[in-house]
Amino acid sequence: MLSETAQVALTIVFFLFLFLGSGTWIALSLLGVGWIGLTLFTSVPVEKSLATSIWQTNASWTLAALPLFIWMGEILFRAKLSEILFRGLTPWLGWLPGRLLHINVVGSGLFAAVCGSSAATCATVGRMSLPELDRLGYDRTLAIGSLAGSATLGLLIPPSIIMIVYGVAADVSIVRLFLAGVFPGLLIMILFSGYIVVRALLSNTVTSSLVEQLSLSEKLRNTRGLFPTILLILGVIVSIYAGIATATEAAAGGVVGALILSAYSRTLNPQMLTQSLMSATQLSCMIFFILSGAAFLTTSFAYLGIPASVASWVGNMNLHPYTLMLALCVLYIILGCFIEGISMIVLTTAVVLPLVSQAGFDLLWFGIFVIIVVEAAQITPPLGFNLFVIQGLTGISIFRVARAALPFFALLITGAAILTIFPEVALWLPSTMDR
Amino acid sequence: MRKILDNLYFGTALIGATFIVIIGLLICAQVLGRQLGVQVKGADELTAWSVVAAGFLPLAYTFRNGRHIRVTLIIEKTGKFKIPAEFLALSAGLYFTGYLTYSSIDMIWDSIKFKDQTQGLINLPLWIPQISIPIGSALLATAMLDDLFNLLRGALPSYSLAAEHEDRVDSHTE
Repeated sequence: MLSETAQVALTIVFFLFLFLGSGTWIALSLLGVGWIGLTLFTSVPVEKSLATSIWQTNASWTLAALPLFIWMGEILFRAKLSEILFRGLTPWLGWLPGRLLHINVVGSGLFAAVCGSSAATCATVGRMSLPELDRLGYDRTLAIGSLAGSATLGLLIPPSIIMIVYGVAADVSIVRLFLAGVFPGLLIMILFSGYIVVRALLSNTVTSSLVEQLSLSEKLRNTRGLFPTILLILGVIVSIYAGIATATEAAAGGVVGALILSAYSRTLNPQMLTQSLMSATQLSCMIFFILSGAAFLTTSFAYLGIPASVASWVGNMNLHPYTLMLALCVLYIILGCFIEGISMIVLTTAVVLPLVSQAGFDLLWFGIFVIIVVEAAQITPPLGFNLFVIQGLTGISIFRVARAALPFFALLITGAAILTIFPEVALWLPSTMDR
Repeated sequence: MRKILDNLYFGTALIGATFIVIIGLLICAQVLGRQLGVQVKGADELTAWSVVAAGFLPLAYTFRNGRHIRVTLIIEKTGKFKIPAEFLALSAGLYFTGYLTYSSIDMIWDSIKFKDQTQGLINLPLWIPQISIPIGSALLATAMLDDLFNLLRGALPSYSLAAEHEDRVDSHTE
């Protein structure tokens, strides 16, 4: 015999999959499911709570960071940074086993630090690195896999669009989330590079024997182009860390910095400016709409008492906290086969967050954990945006790209496991801010 | 008629884009003001309201460019049933957008009826910053109706045409 709440929950899940599966837009599916829940099971005046909950979520000073960081990324995406990154980084990677294969890891790490999205990171870095690595005769599978994996760092290394969304949905400080992402981002870069080193040591067909010999002054000249980017990265992170700027202020500064940088690289012109702005407008409009649908769904869930009953149901199972995290990890990977990261986060926060805090986890820590898991979901078929981007760049089918990315998927999951055992990796940096 | 609608969708998106620029300027003004010891009065509220306008006014334009995301796993495999399948998805979308429009007009009506004022440093009737929600939703509903007529005439909807032409790389958040 099903309890009443279980019936409500099953109905909700049924309609959710019905709408999502039918190709109804995600934001409207969330809104529709919220409407069905309230209409069928409560006497709440739905028309009163819908618009009000949307107004309250969207009229937010914190959310202003979102369109600005997106615009910053759109400007830099058009600023021809890929060549600058490639030329600046290659002279310094020759000493590592695997040599230029590390360009994807380091290049993505750097670009992720000025851009909040992983598809843009993937396209910017891959546009230059994949043809070059191919030309020099590096192992193709490893080149593609490392690009797919590393580009997901766009989500984890601040600034990050998905962190802003999580921060707003979970009511966690965005500044602290940004800082908590720094060391896990570095950890994952080390895992990726370590794997490339091991592969290069085990087999000598992986690395190309072609090495460009450059004098120190040539190396320095090539690297000079990187400094504006590094300055911008430091400007955004340090101003946030030092408490000089909030995330929103850093975003406005980031737009100004990106404009200066694109003027410096001679890519700034009225056409590029309008294109980047209109693209940013549509992208943020899409995210705001999903956030609105999710805000109403959350309101609806709260009226129906779903989060509380799921929390007590799972609480009664007396799971070990690690088992709970494993279960959530599997849940997100499966969800990730059908919907993309931001929708996944806003869809689940209302139900998952009470569970997580009841199990004694810090919501700041969980944000980083869930973002790493979403990163892993980003490179699993059939829906993985980085796979699509690489397919677009190389013409290789997404399933072959996914197979090349498989070791990096495993490394991301390893990263999530390390983070679970040593939460300090994420929590230490934000904790130093409290002094 | 086609031209009027297209200009309407694009025009409102342009206003939305302008609000993003306004957000940037407001925040820069606040930061600079703080350095000079001047407080920019009401900038916090103005920013928050601009976020709503930037989010809702471009809804229809974004929709027609195929930038609102959805799960296309099944609908892509419908083959010759593609048009009826799109018709169902659009009808569901139109229904909920219509409901959102109704609900937001109701909210505006309440704000006017109860003479609600905004809180904080700037005192305005509350309906003024709220108005972009019904405008944006009503335009989205119009755009969806627009595409339903397209489907009835046997043509493909705007968003799926746009999705085929665009360079998909820069269009995703992830």
